[in-house]
Amino acid sequence: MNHEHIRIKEKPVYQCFGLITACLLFTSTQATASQLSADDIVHRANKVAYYEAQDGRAQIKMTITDDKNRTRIRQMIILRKDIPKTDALENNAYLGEQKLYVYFTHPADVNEMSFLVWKRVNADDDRWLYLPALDLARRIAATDKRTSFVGSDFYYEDISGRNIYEDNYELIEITENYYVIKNTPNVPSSVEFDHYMMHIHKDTFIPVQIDYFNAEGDIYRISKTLRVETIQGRPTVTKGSMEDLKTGGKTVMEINDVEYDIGLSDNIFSERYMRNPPQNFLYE
Amino acid sequence: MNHVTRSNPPYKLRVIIFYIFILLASVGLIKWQLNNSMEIWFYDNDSQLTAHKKTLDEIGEWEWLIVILETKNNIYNPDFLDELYKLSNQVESLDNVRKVISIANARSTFSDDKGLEYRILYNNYPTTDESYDEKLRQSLLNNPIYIDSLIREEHENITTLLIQDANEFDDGGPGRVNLIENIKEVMDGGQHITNYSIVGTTALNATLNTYSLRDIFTFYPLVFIICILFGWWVFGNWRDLTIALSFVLAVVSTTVSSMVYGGIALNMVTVMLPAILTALSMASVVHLITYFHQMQKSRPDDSSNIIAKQVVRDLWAPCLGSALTTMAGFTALVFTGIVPVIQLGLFAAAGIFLGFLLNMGIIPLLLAYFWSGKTHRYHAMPRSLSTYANHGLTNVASGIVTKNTWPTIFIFSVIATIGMAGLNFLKADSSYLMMFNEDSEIRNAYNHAEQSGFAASSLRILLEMENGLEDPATFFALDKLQQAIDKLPQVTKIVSPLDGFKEIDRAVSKNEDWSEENYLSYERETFAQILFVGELSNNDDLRDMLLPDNKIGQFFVFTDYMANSEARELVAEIEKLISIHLPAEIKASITGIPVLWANMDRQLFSSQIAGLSIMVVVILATLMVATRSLPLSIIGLVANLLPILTIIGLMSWLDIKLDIGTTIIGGIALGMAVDDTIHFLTHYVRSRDKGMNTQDALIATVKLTGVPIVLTSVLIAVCFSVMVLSQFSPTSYFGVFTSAAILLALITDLLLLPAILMAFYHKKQRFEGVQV
Repeated sequence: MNHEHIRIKEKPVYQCFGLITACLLFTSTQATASQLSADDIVHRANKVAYYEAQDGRAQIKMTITDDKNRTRIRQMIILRKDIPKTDALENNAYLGEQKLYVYFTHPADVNEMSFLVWKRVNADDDRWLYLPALDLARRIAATDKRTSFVGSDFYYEDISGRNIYEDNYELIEITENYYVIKNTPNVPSSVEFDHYMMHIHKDTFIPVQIDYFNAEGDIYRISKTLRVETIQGRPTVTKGSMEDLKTGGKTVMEINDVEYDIGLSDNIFSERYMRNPPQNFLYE
Repeated sequence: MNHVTRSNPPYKLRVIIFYIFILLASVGLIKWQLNNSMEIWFYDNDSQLTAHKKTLDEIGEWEWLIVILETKNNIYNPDFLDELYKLSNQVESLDNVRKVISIANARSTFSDDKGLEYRILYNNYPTTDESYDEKLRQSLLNNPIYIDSLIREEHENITTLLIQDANEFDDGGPGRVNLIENIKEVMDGGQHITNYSIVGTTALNATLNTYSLRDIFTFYPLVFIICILFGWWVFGNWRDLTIALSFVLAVVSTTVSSMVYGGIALNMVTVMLPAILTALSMASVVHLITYFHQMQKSRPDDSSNIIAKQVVRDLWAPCLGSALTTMAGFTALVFTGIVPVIQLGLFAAAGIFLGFLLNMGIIPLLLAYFWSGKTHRYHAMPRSLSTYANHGLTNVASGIVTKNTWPTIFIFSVIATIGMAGLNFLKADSSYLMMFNEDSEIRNAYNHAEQSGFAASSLRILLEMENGLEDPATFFALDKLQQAIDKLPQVTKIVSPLDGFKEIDRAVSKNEDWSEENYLSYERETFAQILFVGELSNNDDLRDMLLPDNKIGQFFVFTDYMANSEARELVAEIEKLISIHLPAEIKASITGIPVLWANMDRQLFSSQIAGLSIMVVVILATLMVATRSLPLSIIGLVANLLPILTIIGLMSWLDIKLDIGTTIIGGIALGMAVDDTIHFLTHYVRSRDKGMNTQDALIATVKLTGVPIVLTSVLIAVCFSVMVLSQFSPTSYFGVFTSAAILLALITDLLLLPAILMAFYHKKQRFEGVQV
């Protein structure tokens, strides 16, 4: 697997202090690695991907390319707030409900449309959509998370996160840089894949590549992390892609202007703020 | 006393080389393929094909296949719907099936206490609800996409399965046939289905494939058997039969192998090629072999080698003449503009030319080799069939024609006048459905579709919208166009992305008073946001009709089955509506397989005239060379045109239209019929050159050429009539009417031609170019 597409860009730190710290971290990581179970690894990866900090904001640009190389752009700003008050991994305390506010900015015709998600752990999400042109807010059924998100190759589940208890995890291999985890759905009939393989970076716990396999054992969908930056001390994916080998489509997602712990209040994630977007948290 | 000498040893080597050549030529036959894909009918640069491929490229390469289903009770019965759901999934899992829509899995956008969702209609209403079936029915009727496509208000027990089949345009393999068979297998497993029919271009094409495959394995073996039996009956010995069959095999295998090596697969038209070449080759070699033995009889002291050379000297001219005219008849098919017909024409012409070369170069060699030191035993049999035939024909020539010249001419004139009067009513129109027998499965399927009121065919209108569908002006213009097309009497149903939009708009607004005019006040952002709801809800019905950028879309226009002329008429009407309703920023092009087929035969009439015109020139020129007399050439031409035109006129009286099959009859029949006339007139002129008067020359000509002419004409007619066994009517009509034309031309050559010659030349002592 080629990992040259991944660059980890670090903000400036004190070099020698960093070296000592790195050595200590390396030693402890090595000690920890040998003790981590598949579940531990997956939880860490889940936290890094979906649960960093108490809240956050990011500007998303999706470039959607079909099999005929026709492209279109979707841009949006996502605000996220975690309901659990802690990031702690112990007893999976970090894991809980989340609220997402998606504010579309491009193309111009859908500017100011917003999409609200209350993500539940053991139940269906609640979703709403606001159409400013009609001044209508409508609740959206959230029964199928494995469908396209805004016409891209990412699914809703890829954006908001798959319920960690829906799969069974098996640590297949530990390479020099990665944990290779095989994930098999507990209810196979509920999904279209047979299993997926995650390559999780040992240091950052970022899922670097996820390959989805069908019942015939063929890969039909590939998720890749293309760029990782450390933002506010947190390793953050700032560029990723999803390729659908069946349709020939590919979506590249760029995540810019990421900010954590910006103090989002709960009431932002309501119909009122769908009609009146919180401008102080949204920026062009 | 027999002074013939044994053949030279070198001939043996040449004979061996010839048979090795046949073997090598036959190797190519192993790799023959059948390709009845859509693509074979068009040249790459065909403008209609280019437009169609552009549509497929933009929107997706698939076509509609429709299965009309009947159930005993009610289509809203939960047991039926449960079964239909399973059957829909089974069909969707088949190869080459992209998507299946039925009332059991049709989706609609709902906005209720569960939220806004694009969900399966059937699941929306609990079957425990007493009025669930009425609610489901109403939901289907309210959806502009599904009414009249999945259900019809007047039918409670009939519905459809709409299948998007990946009908790959250049797929010439058995894919379509397999798909239809697999769908039937699934439907046969339905316990609640009492009757079903499958219609659509895929179904039509699959039937064509099946029939043409059957034709390949029927025609060629039968024709070959006929040639064997005929050869044995005529020649009465294995040597001549071997020579004749070797010649036939050489011509057919070389020609068909050339096609194979040239990457040209057989198709429903060119499947006739092996049978045609077999019959024509056999007919041409009969002349040579018969003449050889006649010469052996009259020159018993000469060796077979010498006689063979004399045969070539005597017959090369008429054989070349008849080869050229037959080739011209086939080559004239290029004017049809229909690719498989052109392929048939060109390869048949090439085969005929090859046959001439082999006839002149190899057959004499084989005759010399096989008959070296031997004579044909029938020389010693005065009471042979040929003797009786000669006697009979001579009586006919002298009795009926020479003594009843003008009555003969009068009778033929009357027959020809009545026959040709039918030409006034001749129409050109291809109806692919009507090409199958009335009681065939495909005809029954289409009848069922028509009776049920559901569509059996569909056109596409590809739209390129510069400003996107969200532009209000674009939306309203397309709305007007759709309404106008919907009013056309030929249109059963039209479905467009606007229907998808309205369906979402209704759900989003949740307005009980929602009407179709709600959107008249919408601005661009509103249209865009409603369409975006479709994208958010993964509305794939909308996606089938509109690309995500909202700039490329399509209308589906569903109709009953239409013959080509009706399809052209509809296309013209729609084009007129497009010019009225759409501004310059919206480009619309009408395409689809029915449109392609409809345009294919727009040249039928003009091609028939052009082909026959070329034939007239070629025949006249050939006869001029053979007879050195313009009046004789014109008489010969008339004697051949009359039977052909009479037969075409007869077709018209029988209400048989000119189509892709029957359009080839005229030129081919004329090209073959004139062969006998060339032989006849050549020998007539030679007889006159020797000083005979008209009557004597005619009797001598009939004695010499009568039997071979009869034999070859009957052989060709019988071989071609084998094609009547085809269940594909253009092929069977081609067989029947070409046979009839050949036989009528034979009678004309034996009766009318001598009668005309008697009428014009008997009292003349001199005519141009001939000494008395």
